Amino acid sequence: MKIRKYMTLLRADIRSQKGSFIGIVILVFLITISLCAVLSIWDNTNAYEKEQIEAIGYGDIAYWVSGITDEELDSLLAQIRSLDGVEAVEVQDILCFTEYVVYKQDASFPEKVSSTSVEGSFFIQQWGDERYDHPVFDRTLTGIEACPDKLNNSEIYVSPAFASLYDAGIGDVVEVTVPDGKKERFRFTIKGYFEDAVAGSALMGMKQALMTQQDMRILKEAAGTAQTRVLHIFGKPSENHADGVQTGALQKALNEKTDLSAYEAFVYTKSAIMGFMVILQNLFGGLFLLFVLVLLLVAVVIIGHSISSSIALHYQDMGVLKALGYTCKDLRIIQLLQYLTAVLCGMVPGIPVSAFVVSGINRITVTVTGMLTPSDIPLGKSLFALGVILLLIIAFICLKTAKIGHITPIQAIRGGAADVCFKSRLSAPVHKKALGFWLAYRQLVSGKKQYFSICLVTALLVFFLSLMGRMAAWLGPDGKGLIDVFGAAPYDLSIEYLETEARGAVEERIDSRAGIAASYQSKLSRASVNGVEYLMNVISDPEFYNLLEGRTCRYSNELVLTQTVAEELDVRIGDSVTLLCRGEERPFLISGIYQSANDMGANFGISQEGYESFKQGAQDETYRTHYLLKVPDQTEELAEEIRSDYGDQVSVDINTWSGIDSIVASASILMGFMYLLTVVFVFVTVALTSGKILHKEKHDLGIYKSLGFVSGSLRISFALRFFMTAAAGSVFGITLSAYVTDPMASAVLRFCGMSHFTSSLSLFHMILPGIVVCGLFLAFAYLASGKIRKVEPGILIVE
Amino acid sequence: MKTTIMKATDLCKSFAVGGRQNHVLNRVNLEIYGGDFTVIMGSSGAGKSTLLYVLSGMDRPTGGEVCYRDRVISHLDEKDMASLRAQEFGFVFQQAHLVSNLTLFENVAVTGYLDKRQSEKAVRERTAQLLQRMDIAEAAERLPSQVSGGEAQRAAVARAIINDPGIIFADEPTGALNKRNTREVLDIMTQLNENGQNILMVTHDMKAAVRATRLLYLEDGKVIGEMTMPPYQKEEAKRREKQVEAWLSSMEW
Repeated sequence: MKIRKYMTLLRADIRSQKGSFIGIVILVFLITISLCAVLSIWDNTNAYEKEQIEAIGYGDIAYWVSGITDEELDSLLAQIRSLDGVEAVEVQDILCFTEYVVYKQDASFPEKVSSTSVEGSFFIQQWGDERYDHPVFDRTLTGIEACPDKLNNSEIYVSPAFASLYDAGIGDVVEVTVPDGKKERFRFTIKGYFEDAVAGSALMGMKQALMTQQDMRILKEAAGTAQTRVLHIFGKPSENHADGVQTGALQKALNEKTDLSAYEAFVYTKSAIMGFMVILQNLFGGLFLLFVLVLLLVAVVIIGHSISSSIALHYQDMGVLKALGYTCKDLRIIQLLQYLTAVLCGMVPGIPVSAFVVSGINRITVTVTGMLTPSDIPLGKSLFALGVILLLIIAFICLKTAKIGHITPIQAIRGGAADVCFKSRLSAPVHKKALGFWLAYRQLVSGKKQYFSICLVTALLVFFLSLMGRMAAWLGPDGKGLIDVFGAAPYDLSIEYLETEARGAVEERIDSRAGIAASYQSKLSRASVNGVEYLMNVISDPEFYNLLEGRTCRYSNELVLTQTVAEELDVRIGDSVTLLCRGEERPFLISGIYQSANDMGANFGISQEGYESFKQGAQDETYRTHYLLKVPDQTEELAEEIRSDYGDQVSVDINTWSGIDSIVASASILMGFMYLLTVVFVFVTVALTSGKILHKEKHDLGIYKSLGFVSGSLRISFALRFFMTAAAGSVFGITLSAYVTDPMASAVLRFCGMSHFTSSLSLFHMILPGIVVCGLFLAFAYLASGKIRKVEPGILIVE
Repeated sequence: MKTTIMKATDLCKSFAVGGRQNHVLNRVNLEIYGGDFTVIMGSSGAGKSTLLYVLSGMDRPTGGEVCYRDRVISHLDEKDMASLRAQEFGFVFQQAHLVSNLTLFENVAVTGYLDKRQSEKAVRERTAQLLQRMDIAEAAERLPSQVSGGEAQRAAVARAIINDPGIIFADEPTGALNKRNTREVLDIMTQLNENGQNILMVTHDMKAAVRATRLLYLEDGKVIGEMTMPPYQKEEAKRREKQVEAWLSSMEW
């Protein structure tokens, strides 16, 4: 009986507040989709990457070694196998090319792409080897081929990121030059794309390809000892370690007890590779999750406003219902059921729809992420997260409906809670000039409470968009901000002089074209600190390091390290650490903490003097010279010029990297999507609040019309109120973002090894969200105020 | 010879009630003359207020037309109608209907601001004078919720005349007032009429009706009776009351 009673009133309530109901359904629907999508991407990406990297036989640690003879390899393998922590070692043959060219199938001029840096290497491995086989995409990159086409000789599979990076497609040709030996060139036609779980992300400089066994044999013969071998080392599972294998300890043992460090080109642990592969998804997922939380807060604010307005509007009805015998509890339950129905109507369809959204995102981003991650929704996690949200909303509704208890039948019968205006201290005189504005302002300050939710919603949205704007400003249109953070020191142009005689002429050219502001020598190597191997930055002038704390490594026994390394090793400034470099061990003092997100922050820096103090720091070590230019705009043009005039004598790089365009593009897409959601949220907010405000002010509108006001001016005045409220919220949001952006962004960017974030103060990026959100409120409020046209002065008639 | 300022020809107004047409005004023909204090009376549901609002352009007729100073106003668009209301018509309702968040002064002045011919300074000065004249100068800076019903209604009258309208429409202006406030508001309106202000008022209050110079009786949507009287004199109030009573009895009121 009671349920029937509730249902009757519930149906009537929903019918009479269709707008609010639909609005809340839309908000919750969007939040559910976004939340489930983020959870799915996080969950699936990490799990899928783990599954794939294990499926292709990647070791817990993989050492890329080159210049090693078969005998030396056997001896090295024996050393490794003899270690306690080693379960197994597997050797994979691979070819490394630092010079490769992509020819467009239909282009008159080949697009030459070459790199001499380790990060830019192009690896080719054999396809059809069951142990290290990779899945192959279908031609449309929307699925994995169950039975991929057999690869013929002179054909290769490449990763979608490779194709995207060099604008190459199926049928285009890649020409590789075999290192050392006779510098023979071989051409391969791209047959299709494979899913590369090791280097498939556009963010990673190295790229891989697959070729036939016969081609591999020919290239190996041509390369001789220049071929690379990957040693996949599997550690013994450790009971007291969550990840199973203690890679840190294993790495330490490998470096200390074997000759690996004498051969290795570089080393990547499985977790590091996985980190690189999912860095974009984690980074953008983290940012988007923050945005979803902001949207959730916005939705709660709107629900709160809707409840308050609804109680004010139905005050009399509620009083009458109480007079008829309904208790406060009954009325609160009906309100709770009404809003819960709306929330559930948004949540339930949101879960399956999010699977389609995730599937779409995965397909769109496959050329960036390199993986076609499953789009399954992690039901357990999603339901748990949505359950928590539901509980919070229930608690909030219970809190907001408490005022129903204050309604008495007698108050209702006497005409309800009629709004009594009190003079506001913020009131200003109404003037003839800009009358609409002054009336809007008066309405606003007289009914501050009902606009509070709009102010809060604006503040939250503007805060987040402003935060993103500041990050976008920091990133820059070409990703310079991120590039600078990844490098240990700033530079515009980097040159390796293969023939030292060229230096004078090249530097003269640089100085005349763009002016040399400063220059220094640097190189990348690897060394162990307290037994854990890290990327090592060596620099001739350590003053250029991006220092965060302490001072730079001025003396040969000092080093600087990142916050990530400091935390990992549990050391701080002033501590002494043991540096193992080229087989020699020596204590070093930590003089400072610096920032470099290279290798996800797993790096440290020393001075050239310090590096060369190691006995095997040979004099013929090659360094790259980094130049800071007086006119950096000229960098790209200048690099091309030097490449064309001194191509064989120098290797030129500018301060950018392959994945940066993808990051900038992804950031732009994410921003665009956030703005789109903001548009929807502002629309729903205006729709929900304006309807109730208009209903409340119908009488005043009738008076204004009877005095001679036209609908147009009343609509502008109405919209101006929303604009003014949004402007106040925007100021708050922008101010908040100015204070909170840096610590919040630092927390999110830790995903990619950045421990410190200082946003750029771009006025445009900072205030743009405020302008957009205020504009949206103005436009939507004006549209929503169309109902004013229907208000006739006749409503004042009492027959 | 009186001049016609407003003329209604075959004026009809119907409402759909429960799928059935309810003809509230049924081909009403009437003229309102300059200088008159016209009062429309009639039994409850006769269509008095509907007639007032259709004549004043607050509501649109379903048939016929309304002319104000030889201009058809019953089919004006919203902008022209608003301009006419701002400059030519003044309204006094049964309730004061003041904008709740504006002070009494602002309620009056805002209407003055709509008249493009007047400067802000002139409007403010005139508003102050009117509030003084209505004896509510002390309450000028108070909000409608902070004043009595009589003070609010006097502010409504001041608002109605701020732009020197061609005619004031009053719908039961004393309906919600006590005896003292009723007398004060009627005195103001009588005084305005004496100064040449055209007034068209709907009422069923005898005390208000005696102030009229012309009385119209409405029954079943039609004007069925008319009576003219000389301008109101306070000392003749009792006699006029009896005269009106007699006339109303003849109309079977």
